[in-house]
Amino acid sequence: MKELVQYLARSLVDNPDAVEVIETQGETASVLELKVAKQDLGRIIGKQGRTAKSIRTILNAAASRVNRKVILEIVEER
Amino acid sequence: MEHMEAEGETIDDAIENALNTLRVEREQVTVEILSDVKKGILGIGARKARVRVSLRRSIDIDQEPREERQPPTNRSMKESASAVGERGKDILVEILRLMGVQATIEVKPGETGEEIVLDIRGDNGGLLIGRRGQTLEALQYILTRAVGERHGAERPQLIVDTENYHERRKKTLEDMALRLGEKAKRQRTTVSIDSLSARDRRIIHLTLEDDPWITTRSLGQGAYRRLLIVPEGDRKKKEP
Repeated sequence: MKELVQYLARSLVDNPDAVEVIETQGETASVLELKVAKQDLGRIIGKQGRTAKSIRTILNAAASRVNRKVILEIVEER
Repeated sequence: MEHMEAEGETIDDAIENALNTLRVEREQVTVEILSDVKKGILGIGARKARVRVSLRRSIDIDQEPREERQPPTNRSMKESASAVGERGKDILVEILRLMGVQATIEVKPGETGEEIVLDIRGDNGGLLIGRRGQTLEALQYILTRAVGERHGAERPQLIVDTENYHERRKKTLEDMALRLGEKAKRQRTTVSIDSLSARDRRIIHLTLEDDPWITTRSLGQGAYRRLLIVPEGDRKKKEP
């Protein structure tokens, strides 16, 4: 899952090197925290959150194949 | 009325750019020339041709924002189309691999020249289609984003398909359009349909276009955009 998010994010941003994903595995669910360069945040979220929503949809489809839940958090750097 | 402005090296180029963006035919729009090409002195003060294009009927257009881009010179539509198709295919192959899906992708031309279909074969596609096609749509959206930013304005549209989903969806929508059209006429009430994608609405508009007893319209913004089927008391006039 981590690699999938990493790949999706990298193919969307201008700054692929700044993409960072931290995965925290729970019993049935995983939390994925995605960090990107500040100027790329818009690319990841998209107009009315459509890009972020699409990433989550793809993640959920992949996760449901292995009967897990995945939560994607997009983390803003400060 | 829906309209947009476009630029080009010549007036004809500008019109073509607008038609490609709206994905409509020349007959469906009226064109107003805003300014002709200006040469300028040593390139200073040079201007491109600008036109405003208005849709004649309420044909739905894609609501996505389009950045202003310079049309590439000496472009070869065919070449850039296959380049986009191949790039899209490479990214899709990698996404599917990371999703744990066993599948091959076939790249083929779509119904219109501006579309390229990436057909996913091999896996039992139901999982990739998702509820009401939402997973396919998400894949398509991400691919368009990932591929699109790096090509010119003339880029073709990528369609992600599996197990003929789009074909089946189109049939379903056409049946629904005709059924709701009959309902609107029989009950003399306006029928509204919620939560359809721009593409889905377009299919309904086109299906009911030739029925003189009803007109179709879209109302609202973004995700809240609805399609209305309005019964006409009198025969629709030839020219609105």
